[in-house]
Amino acid sequence: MSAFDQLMTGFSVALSWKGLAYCFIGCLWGTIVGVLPGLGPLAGMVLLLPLTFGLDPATGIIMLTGIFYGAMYGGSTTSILVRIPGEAASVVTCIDGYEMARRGRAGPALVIAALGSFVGGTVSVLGLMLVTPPLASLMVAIGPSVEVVLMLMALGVIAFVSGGSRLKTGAMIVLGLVIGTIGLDKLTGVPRFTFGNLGLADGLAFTALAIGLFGISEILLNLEKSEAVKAIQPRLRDLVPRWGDLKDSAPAIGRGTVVGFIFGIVPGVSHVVSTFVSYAIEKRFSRHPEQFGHGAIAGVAGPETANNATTGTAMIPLLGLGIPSIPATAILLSALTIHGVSPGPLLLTENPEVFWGLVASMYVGNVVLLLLNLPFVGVFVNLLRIPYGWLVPSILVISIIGVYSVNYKPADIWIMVIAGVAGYLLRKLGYEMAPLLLALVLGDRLEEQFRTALTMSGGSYATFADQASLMVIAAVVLLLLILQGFAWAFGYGKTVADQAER
Amino acid sequence: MGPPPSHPPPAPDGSSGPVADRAPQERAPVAEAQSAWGRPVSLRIGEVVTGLALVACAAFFAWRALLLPFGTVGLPGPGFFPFALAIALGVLALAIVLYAVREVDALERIFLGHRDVLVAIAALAGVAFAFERGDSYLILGTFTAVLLVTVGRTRWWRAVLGAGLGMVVVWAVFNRALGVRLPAGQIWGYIAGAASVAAPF
Repeated sequence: MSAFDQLMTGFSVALSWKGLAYCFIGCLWGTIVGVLPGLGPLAGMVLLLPLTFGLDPATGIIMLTGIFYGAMYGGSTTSILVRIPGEAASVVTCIDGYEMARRGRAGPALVIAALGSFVGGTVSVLGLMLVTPPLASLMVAIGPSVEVVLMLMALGVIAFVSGGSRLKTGAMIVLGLVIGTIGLDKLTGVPRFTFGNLGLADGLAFTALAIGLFGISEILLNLEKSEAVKAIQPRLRDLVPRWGDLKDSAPAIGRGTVVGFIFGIVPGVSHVVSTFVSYAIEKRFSRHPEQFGHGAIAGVAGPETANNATTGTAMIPLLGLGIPSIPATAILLSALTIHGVSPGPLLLTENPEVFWGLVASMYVGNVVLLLLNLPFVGVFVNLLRIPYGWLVPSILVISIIGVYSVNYKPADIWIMVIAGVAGYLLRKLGYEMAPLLLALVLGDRLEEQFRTALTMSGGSYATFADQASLMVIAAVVLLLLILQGFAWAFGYGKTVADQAER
Repeated sequence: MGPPPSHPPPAPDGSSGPVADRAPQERAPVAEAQSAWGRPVSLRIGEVVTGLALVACAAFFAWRALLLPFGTVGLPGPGFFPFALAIALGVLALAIVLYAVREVDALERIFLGHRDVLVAIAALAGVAFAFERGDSYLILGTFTAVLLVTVGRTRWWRAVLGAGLGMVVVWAVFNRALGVRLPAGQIWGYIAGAASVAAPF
């Protein structure tokens, strides 16, 4: 079956009433969590993860992915109208987006952000579609030692590019790996750290841990800073951008797509870094760099396009290699595993409907989001008027039921509460939860492949430094150096970060 | 119920992280405002306590891992990987403690114990304790009402009404649409037992 035929099969999944309905629900919820400050895509995905357990794998993944890219769309709305980034990737949009809104040009800013997001998201799906199958074929050919090297490189890069203390990030990665060892040893069946409790045979409930570490801790942190939100309300008739806006934005959207697609491959914080780099590039290429910071439309178009373009690229390591590069794809990995689907090289052969259904749904989802975000922007902005204290009980009730419904064990609710409190305290002290979650997801496989590689090599550690492994290391280091050089060349890290700070 | 008490003003940068991250001239007013709601805790002490907790965690895992079949370095058993990780965690945690002692300013503060945070944690613990003991809808409804009154600063009758309506929605979505069966709890057994005893009278 050719790729085109498979894509058509994917569209038959995505365009079925069920696929469309859950894609819509995912996009809608994603936009809502993107709009609401303090509830990012990750918390949004984690909160609805349990709802996917009753669905078939393709539909469940379509919904969760919809939340992921839907949040990227929604995040721009609050950045432009309130100057509060709905999620981290929209920080840069605050700079010029809010300035445009203050000058009565909120409509064009929102429309250009939505159009850029649409273009970036759609093109990146094209890249996902073209890159993943050959990458998966390559992955089938490599052995467990290279897989170990790849996973270690991913975790190492996360520790390196992480914004906070590298020491703390490293500790969180190792803690995640340690927690991941709880349960039955996959190779020998020996119970580890279970204390005779059969409920721990499968390890600590991932959903409970993820909801606690991200969802609950986020809510507790937000309770400390409840604030009145004053949003600029755009009128529907003001939404139409001028010809000049479109002309100024088109090249920025093109460049943002390329930047987002390339930087999406960086594990950890790709969607955030890509927006800063895109902003820096736009300022460098602009004929009027002095307008940046004072409402330049290219300063909205570039970063918004870039953060959506990363969504497709971020899926490539997950679907092609089975290695999540960012926390959102770690949630997807967990969801796929719960559904009995192994992401990675065999996904395309064993569950093609999941891969191609997802690809097709991302095309459909980007259209849905465009239709949702343009005419209903006023509705989403009104969400900001709901006092946070009223939203908290609803979010917590969904979390509790969601966690309980996975295994029907009240102990999971305790795990969620304890993880939530621990996450809250750790985040107050500057620890990041994303590396812990990624390590927790990867831990099992890392150990399994590590021991398998050693068994296959007769106990020789040199297997991790064979030709294939060294090539992988060299390729990853080279890629990172190029991206770092690229980012430095355009002034990322100095001027842009300063402006975002202001 | 009177007007809702005002919350402390948000941090200038919108963050809830260590106060030390902010400009020095901004620290004092933020600290004053937050102290009404939370207890100032030395950042250094917080860092050291967290580091030591991680050291304890590492020591525990290392000890338990040693009780498992270790295998050899070349052909590791189930205890090898957790042991190696626990050692790595211990080293990193000790480095965090040392860094905190040597580099973190003793005067820097973070604020812990915000009223709403404590209420939410207590309510969550209450739900975890009572979820299968009492009727889940009753427990979740009470939880919602309590949070609406305490955190949402809503009048009690509105909170009860809101919680009741919320539970109807929860039942419709989770029970009817998604087939999630929430526990009826032991409370109804006790009530039925009491009713059957009381029936002859």
